Amino acid sequence: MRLIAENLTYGYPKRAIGSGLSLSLSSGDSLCVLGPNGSGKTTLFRTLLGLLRAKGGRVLLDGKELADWPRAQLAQALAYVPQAHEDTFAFTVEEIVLMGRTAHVGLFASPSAQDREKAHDAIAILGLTHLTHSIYTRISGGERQLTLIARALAQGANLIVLDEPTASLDFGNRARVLAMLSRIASSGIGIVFSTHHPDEAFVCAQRVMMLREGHVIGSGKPHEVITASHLESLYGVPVEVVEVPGGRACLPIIRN
Amino acid sequence: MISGSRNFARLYCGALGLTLALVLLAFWLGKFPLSSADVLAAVAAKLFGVPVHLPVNAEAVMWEIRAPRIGAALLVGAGLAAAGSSYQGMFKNPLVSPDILGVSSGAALGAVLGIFLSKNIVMIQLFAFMGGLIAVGLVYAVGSAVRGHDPLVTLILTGVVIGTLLGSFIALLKYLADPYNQLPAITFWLMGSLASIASSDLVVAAPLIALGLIPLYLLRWRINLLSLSDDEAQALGVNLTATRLIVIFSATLMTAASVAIAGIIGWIGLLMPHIARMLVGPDFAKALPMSLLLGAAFMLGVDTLARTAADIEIPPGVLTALIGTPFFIWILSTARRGWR
Amino acid sequence: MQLTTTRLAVFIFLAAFGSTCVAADRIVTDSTGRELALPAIVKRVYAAGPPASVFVFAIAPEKLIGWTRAMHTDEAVYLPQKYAKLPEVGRLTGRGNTANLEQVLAAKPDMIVDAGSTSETYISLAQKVETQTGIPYLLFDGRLAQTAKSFRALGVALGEKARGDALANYVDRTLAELHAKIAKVATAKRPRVYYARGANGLTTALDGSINVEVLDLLNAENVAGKSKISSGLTKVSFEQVLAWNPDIIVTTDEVFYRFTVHQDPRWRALAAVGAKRVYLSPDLPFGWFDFPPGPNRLIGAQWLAKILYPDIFKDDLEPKVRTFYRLFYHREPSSKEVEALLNPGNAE
Repeated sequence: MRLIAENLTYGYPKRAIGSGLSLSLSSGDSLCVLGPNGSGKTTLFRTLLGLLRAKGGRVLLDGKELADWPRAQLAQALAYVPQAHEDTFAFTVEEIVLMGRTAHVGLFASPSAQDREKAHDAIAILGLTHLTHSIYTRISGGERQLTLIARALAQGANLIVLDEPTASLDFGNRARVLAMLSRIASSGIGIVFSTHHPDEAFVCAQRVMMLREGHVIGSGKPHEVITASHLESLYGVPVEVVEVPGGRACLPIIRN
Repeated sequence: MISGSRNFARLYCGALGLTLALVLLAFWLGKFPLSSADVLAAVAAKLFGVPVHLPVNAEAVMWEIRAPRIGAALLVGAGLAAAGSSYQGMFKNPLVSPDILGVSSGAALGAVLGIFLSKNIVMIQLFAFMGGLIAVGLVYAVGSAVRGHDPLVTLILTGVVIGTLLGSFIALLKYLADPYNQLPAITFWLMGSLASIASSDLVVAAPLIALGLIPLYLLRWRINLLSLSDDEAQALGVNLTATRLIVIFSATLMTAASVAIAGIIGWIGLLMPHIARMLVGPDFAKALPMSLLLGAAFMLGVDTLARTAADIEIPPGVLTALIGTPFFIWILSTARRGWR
Repeated sequence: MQLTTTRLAVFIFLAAFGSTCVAADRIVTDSTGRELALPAIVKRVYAAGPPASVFVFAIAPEKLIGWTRAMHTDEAVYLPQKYAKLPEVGRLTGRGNTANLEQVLAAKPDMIVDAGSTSETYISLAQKVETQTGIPYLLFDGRLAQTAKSFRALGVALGEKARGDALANYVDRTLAELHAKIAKVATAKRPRVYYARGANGLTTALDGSINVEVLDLLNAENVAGKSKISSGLTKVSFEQVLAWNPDIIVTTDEVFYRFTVHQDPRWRALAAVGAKRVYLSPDLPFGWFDFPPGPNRLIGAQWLAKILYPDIFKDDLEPKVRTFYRLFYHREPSSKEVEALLNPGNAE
């Protein structure tokens, strides 16, 4: 499965956010997108998922334009993991993960025993089995994020798009989610995720893309791209980059 | 109330049992003096054709007055609750009622217009039904044409605005109506009542309400997905526009049919789905049947009270609020975290 | 009688299944042209609203099951005691329902009578109730011009043709006399009347409204006039009343008559008030001018005729009141009572 963006201009009907963007994501790839607030990451992701129409250029999944993909089939191939949020209704973790099977369930049908099994498998992979019947709105933020990732797995998708999966997570939960993403990536599912913490790219990304005001200002392997000077031009603050085992730590320099 | 596992079978049986008990009670009670023996005899005669000796008019009371009224109460209660349940899921808001897109205002305007033009009862009901459908159609058309940031909020705001507009037309017609003959009919109709229900009303309303229930039942799994954000739902493969349209159509059909035969009765569509969710959780596949049962039981209980408690008929809308409000407050305070 | 055996078989069949069907002994037509099957003897009649109560009470008081609302003490004085004490049975569905159908059935009526509007709405309501209960539901036109006809038809339905005809004759004679005398009045000299409703007197009825049928009958000019959109009640501003400057003000509201007209300086400034031409309609036991819109208004028409055309209607009102009450309400009032009736605003 391969998702390709060719010379993409993306944005809203009245406003273009970015242009000239090209990227390629295959099953087994892992891509980290870095960029300040308002740089267009979410808009880009929505365009890659087919939720927003491309203003220029095109997005192809396995050679076919997204608009030509039937909705259910597209959902079987591409999954979306948003930031975990408070939900209005008290669904259980099991029910939330089961929702991932929608693309495989007929229009007037309910999930089958097989669907339920796949949901339970996904829950198990994410280590959430003990929370299967817990209410989604009452578990911790990290557990909620993991639940949404389980839902994407249950969807059976080959490519998963995650929008800031570690935002608003505490230190420990961040680590857990990153570990999970790393596992998923190495299991042959392609992932693309955005984050505000550049050092996360070292944990679970093969490639990094830096996005500023809709334009790519750097792309390549983490070691190549994530440097002090690149980060400074991306975020506009002086940054100290320190080598640590397994990657780099990136710290903003704050002077009084 | 909700934690870990839930004993669904027990809850459903309880609700069904309550409904059946209320049906029996409703047949037994009434202003016409019928002894328990008479009631049983009438039932035996109807079901088994056993010839019995009944007081004069007993059969009319049982089968022309009480039975249609009981049937209508069950249907209207179930229909309004189902409509409310689906809307609360769709608008992701547990405080939404079936009237939110203006169906009741439209139906009321249709009926008032029919009364003002001195039409016969069937035409008045038809006007009411069409009025409800047209009002929602208008709200949907305008809401879709206006490119709001959030389609659901746009829809709700349009519904409120158009509902208010229709309400002002109703007020105008009330002012112009013949004060001795038409105005009381209008006022009485707006207050809602099952007092004039006959079997002819059921014949019309039952298929319409059933028709509205079928799509909701078929889509019971998908409707859960409407409570996710638009992006999530679409990314999961849901056709949001089509699904929402079907929900709106079904809920409107049921509510318009209810208002056409019973006038405006509030609270049920708001309260019962809420309680159903507290009992069995938000999964629509479970909340729908529970809402149907609770709505039917509540409406029947209220209507039986309305026709037996005092010398005169009490408007059911008054009773649903009087009973519903403290009951709801009690539930909110004893449940651990409301609907969450 | 034809087909005796068949009728007997039908009777047994119906009795065996406790049916509510009534053996059809005669067919009667109501004001809407509907033909209804009635029992040979009608003993209990349910009047569905106040105007119908007056109609039925006038013809056959012993057959009336009850009043739509219980008689107040001051109203009860003018009726024979046994009838004043009849129970309250409520009004039927559709007009502001207070009775439910089971209550109606429990009263065991032989027929239901309604008088007033004969529009499609009320016809379909009548048919609905009839289908549900099996009780024949007769609907009569309550308008003054149709009252005589309604009396005749209702008299036949109740099995009291003579009584119904007698009352209808009274109505015909009274209306004819009123018409004849008033016809001589030139249009330019028609009295200009304002009908004041409510305590502040600023609600009135437009031409064509059932509330001012009496004014219409007496060829008075309703200052409020006609409206293209409404023929009901309407609110007016005092400025309008001033502009109309009515000759005579008629009201049904005691507060308006006793207080507002005297205390509110705006009203005091009106010519009609200055000339003391404000009249409160008597209303015991039933309203003389407006409520209920039934035959009770006939004495009100005679009362108002004397007020509007004092030169033409010179006869004393007292004998007319006595005759009317004796005929329609079955009790002739004493002189003192008549005086009290004719001076409603001076209650102790």
